[in-house]
Amino acid sequence: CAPIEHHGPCIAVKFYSDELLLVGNGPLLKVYNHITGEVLTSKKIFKRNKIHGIVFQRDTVGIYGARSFSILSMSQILEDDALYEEEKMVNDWIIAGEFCSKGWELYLLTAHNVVLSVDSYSKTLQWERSVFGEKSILYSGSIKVLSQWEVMVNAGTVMDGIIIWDLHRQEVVHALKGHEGSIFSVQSSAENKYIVSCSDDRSIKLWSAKTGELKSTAWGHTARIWNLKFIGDEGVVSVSEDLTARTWRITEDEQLVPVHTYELHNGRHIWGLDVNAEGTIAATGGNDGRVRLIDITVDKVDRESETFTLEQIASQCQDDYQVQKKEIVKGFWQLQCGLVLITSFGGIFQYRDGKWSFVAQKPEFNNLTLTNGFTNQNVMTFTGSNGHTVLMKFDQEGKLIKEEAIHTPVSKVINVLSAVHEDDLYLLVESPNKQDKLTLYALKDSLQVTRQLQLTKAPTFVTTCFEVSSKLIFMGFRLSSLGIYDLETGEELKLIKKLSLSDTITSIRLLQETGDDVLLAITNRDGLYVYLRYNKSSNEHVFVHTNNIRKGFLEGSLTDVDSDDFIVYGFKSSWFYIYNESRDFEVAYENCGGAHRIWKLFHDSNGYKFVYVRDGSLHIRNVPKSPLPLVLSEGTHGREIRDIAIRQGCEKLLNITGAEDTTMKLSTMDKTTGQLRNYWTVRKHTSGLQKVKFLSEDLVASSSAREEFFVWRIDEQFKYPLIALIGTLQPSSTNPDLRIMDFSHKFVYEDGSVVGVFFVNVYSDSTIKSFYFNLSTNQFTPVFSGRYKTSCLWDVRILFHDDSIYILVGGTDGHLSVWNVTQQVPFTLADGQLQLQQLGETKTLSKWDCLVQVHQNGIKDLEVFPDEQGFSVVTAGDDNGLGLVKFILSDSVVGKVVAFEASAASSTVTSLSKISGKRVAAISVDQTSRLWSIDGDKLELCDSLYTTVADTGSSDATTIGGKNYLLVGGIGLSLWEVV
Amino acid sequence: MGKSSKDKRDLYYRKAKEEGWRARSAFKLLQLNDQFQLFKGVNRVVDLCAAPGSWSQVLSREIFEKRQETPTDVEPKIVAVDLQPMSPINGVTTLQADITHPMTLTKILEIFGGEPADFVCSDGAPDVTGLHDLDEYIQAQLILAALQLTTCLLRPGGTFVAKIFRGRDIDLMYSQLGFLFEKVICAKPRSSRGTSLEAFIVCLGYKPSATWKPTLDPDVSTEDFFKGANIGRYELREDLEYQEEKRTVAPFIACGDLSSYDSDATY
Ligand SMILES: C[S@@+](CC[C@H](N)C(=O)[O-])C[C@H]1O[C@@H](n2cnc3c(N)ncnc32)[C@H](O)[C@@H]1O
Repeated sequence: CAPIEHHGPCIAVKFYSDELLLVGNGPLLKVYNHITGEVLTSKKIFKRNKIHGIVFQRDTVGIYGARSFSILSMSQILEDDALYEEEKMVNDWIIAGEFCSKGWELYLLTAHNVVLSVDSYSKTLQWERSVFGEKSILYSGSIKVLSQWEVMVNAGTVMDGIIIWDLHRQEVVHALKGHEGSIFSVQSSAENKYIVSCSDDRSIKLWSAKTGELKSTAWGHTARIWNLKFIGDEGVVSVSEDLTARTWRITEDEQLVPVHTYELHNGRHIWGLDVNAEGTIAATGGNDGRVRLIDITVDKVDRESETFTLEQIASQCQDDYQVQKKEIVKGFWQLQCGLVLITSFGGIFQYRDGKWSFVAQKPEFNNLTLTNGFTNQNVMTFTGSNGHTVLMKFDQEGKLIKEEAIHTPVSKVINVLSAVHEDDLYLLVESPNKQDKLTLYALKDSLQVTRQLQLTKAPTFVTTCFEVSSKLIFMGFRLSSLGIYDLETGEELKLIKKLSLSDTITSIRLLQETGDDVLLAITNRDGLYVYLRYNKSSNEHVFVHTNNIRKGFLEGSLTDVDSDDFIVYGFKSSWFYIYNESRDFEVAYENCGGAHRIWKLFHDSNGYKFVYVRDGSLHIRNVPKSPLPLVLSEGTHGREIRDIAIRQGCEKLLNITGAEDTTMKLSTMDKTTGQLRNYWTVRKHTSGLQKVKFLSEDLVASSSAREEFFVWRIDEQFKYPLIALIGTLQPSSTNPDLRIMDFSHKFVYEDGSVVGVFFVNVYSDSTIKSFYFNLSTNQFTPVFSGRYKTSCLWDVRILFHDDSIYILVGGTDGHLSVWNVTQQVPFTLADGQLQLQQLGETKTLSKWDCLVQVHQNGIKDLEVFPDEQGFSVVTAGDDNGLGLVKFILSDSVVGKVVAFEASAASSTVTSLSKISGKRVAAISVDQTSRLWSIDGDKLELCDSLYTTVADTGSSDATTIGGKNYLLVGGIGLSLWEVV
Repeated sequence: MGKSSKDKRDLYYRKAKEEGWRARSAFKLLQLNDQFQLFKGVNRVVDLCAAPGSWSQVLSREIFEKRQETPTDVEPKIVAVDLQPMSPINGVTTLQADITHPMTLTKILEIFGGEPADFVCSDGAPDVTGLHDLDEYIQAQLILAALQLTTCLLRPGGTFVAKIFRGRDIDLMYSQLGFLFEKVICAKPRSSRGTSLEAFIVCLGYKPSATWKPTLDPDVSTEDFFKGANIGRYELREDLEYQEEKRTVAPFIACGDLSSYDSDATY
């Protein structure tokens, strides 16, 4: 076996130069060029331990983690191999490290408050120092080298606050008391003016380094704070379990005040933190393995935000514009040539290159004006309440070059929407009068109207958004309905009602059009978003992707012009958010005071611009495209991965991981580099995932507590894979704790083609239930149900032998049980295929046909190897054991344990995966994958490998091009090649 | 949500409420006792990391209260130590202190006044940070601190029980304990959830080293304490060479019979 890549908690990040960032990821040290985002090298530094800290002095780098450390030169790191041979060891956990001012020696602070000095060249121990009576355990600490003779040790204890001691004099200088609980980080400022600390009590305390006096206590994080770093002597950055990084400023009266909060990671915990020498960039590393950069320049948010009152706008203009009492901003649009705005009295202004200018005054647009624009064409449209519409065309320099007017056939207008398709601009005019039709205008950017079309809609429907393709018009309505119309005739082709349970369709966007086929991205305000495929000639539609954002209102979606990522935006309490859904991170947020009536989000290759009106003023929040790569490494779930499913029989390593964080991630991994590409984070389950499996190339099922059981379909006709929910099993009980622990499936055929799926599910209350899932109606029909005993069941498999159907069940009591269910199912077995017969009454499962005790307690996983007489089962036990059980199937079922390895691991064996050549990989919580071969009645250990993925709990394997790949999951993911 | 809400509905949780135990952990000690007869002939006990005190309750019932009924000549003594304060329990002396602090052990020894103990147990669990390797290390430190006290206080042949998390380095711990006890077993009571890594190390038959005399010194850390004990711990070497320490797998025993409640099941 050989490891390919590791994705897991990133605890250490360190800026090395203004270009290079050192990142510890498990045992690997990665060197990034953080300006370009490129990974220059990735080297394994330790054999078993994870990197917890990185320090350097000129080009000598000290790396430590657990009881290991290594001293390497930068050129060694960049050029040499087998660096793990340089690994050194001490007798205690290393809390902190620092080089002396000359770099000759590396000081290591251990968890019992002892400092060891290591010679940087010979890498041998020189001396150890401590202070008398202070050798109790530490959770954190740091070493501040002031000069060759003066070194301070900041020790964070579990009960007694912080002890600052002088390393060379071995004397306590200050005992900083005031925190409650364990100290998690303590740091000295650049000029040693201050010390900052945090603890279990969630506060940050600022102390005078000279006197030890407490200067300020700051609060803000909603969970424990793990790491702190000074920004010079002026500010502090903190990272926390609550997934945020916060910046704090030290005021003149030495108070710590909050500046900004950044949401950066997934799951739980941010550990790694560093600030560059200039104090402009911070890097963070999360439990999710993600590495992020943030621009922490203190006034950044101010620079990106602009606010103007109408008075300010008017006073900036050459022309003498008198702002009236009660005159407010009524509408605006961002054109390529600048932002154009209209007031409630018809004053039109333009904002370009930081300057406002007056464009025109249109007194006819008193009060109600509906403003639309066509950004790339530099065209604005204004519609008054009487339907009178003015079109304005600007040139690239912002000069008004043409003006036209349209008189709509309706006398009252409540809504005007715009859409663009290639060279055609469309305006849709809606009247409040239920009898009036909708009017669609098609125009060119020369402002010439080319067509006018009347559309009929259901009288109760209110249009909320619209989109045009080359043949079709799509309209979104309140009550979550969608209308599709023929662009040629205006005829309604289809009405899809109730996309979601409630609320309004907020946006429709054409993603792709091929012939009669269109793919749309549709958002609903309640958080649902879908990709819909529609074919004009067949008039059929299918949802090829369905997902939900977590909270807040969903107002629309965008495709990021640089990355092609799917971006969503909307309001969340008093915030407006822009979120990258594909990669699962926040792009930006703005405290705009809540959902507004007048707002718009614009996006182009320069970034995002959120414009809104609040208290009569115009607010512009720019989110310029970052010059820095914001995400250096994507990472995975930040919580335990409970199950992994790799799609079998295809070239790509397409996989789905299901985690404790209740989400599933659909991703691919590069076979050679192990690079992870996440496509979607699926948020349908409401409790931690139990199982996720591929049923076939494009069908997936997943289960969790609350009896959640879902069937999904993957669609790969688009440039990235899509995943849609197609089936939901209704829970049977009101016990929210009832978990579907495992499920097994077989396809059901009729006339040679697949018509449905036969499922058997096992539950935490010892019940066993079987269902038939009809693939055309997507409905579940119960087949049989029964109960084992009272213990929780962990595993189930449906097995065929001869023409009989069996189920094999394992659970917490360490027994395997087998039922012959041939008579209980509405299928017949012929040539290894289930043929559908008549679905009837739900049958009851009687007592098992065979029961065998294999383990002392829980059977965590099993793998089945069929043979002539029946099948052999390899079982993984909570009792550290691995069992081999042989079942002989005839009229009766006979099972016998033929081999048992009591100490197959030093901890629970949690997962098994079949590897070619009658082998299984057994993953255990001792972080070891062991490869066993099954030789007749024997289990033989062939190989054993250590993985740095903690809480090792899941695995899956596949064979591609003759190579075996094993994916191991826990807190992180690691990819292996198994020979 | 998740875990805490689950705890509330747990069968053992309800049973503990009914039977008056301060925590469901009581059943773990009771099931361990069913398997190993831990309390037989035991009069003097240290319960480390004892808050809120359900183990102390069990010990009080089994040792203190039973002796009240049928007195023996040896006076029972139960000392309970925790970082957290504990409300009083009949016959139990409580001490609020950090067991990894060298001074704490001295205080416990003082309470015992030179007499040995028959049984030392520790159900200690540090505040979990989420950094698995660190959490496991701190857990191991708690066990070592408890073991340190054990070597100073336990009578030959006595028993030591401690909570462990069966993580990546537990086999190192098994190996080291093997030097000090006749028998080292990894036991999992059925009341401990199958989905958690928790288990208990049961060390039977204390056999003090003939060559090493444990001495408590306020300036000696737990790590340093075991220097010279020759139990296979890595000792700081001048050349700081990386060394693989010895690992062994301890036999595993699930205790509490199969028909007892299954803590993973939901009814
Ligand atoms: C699971 S609880 C013990 C429950 C107890 N056996 C009972 O039955 O009620 C773990 C305890 O370990 C304690 N603990 C953790 N670290 C400690 C330390 N260094 N010194 C003393 N107690 C500690 C915690 O305060 C906590 O109360």
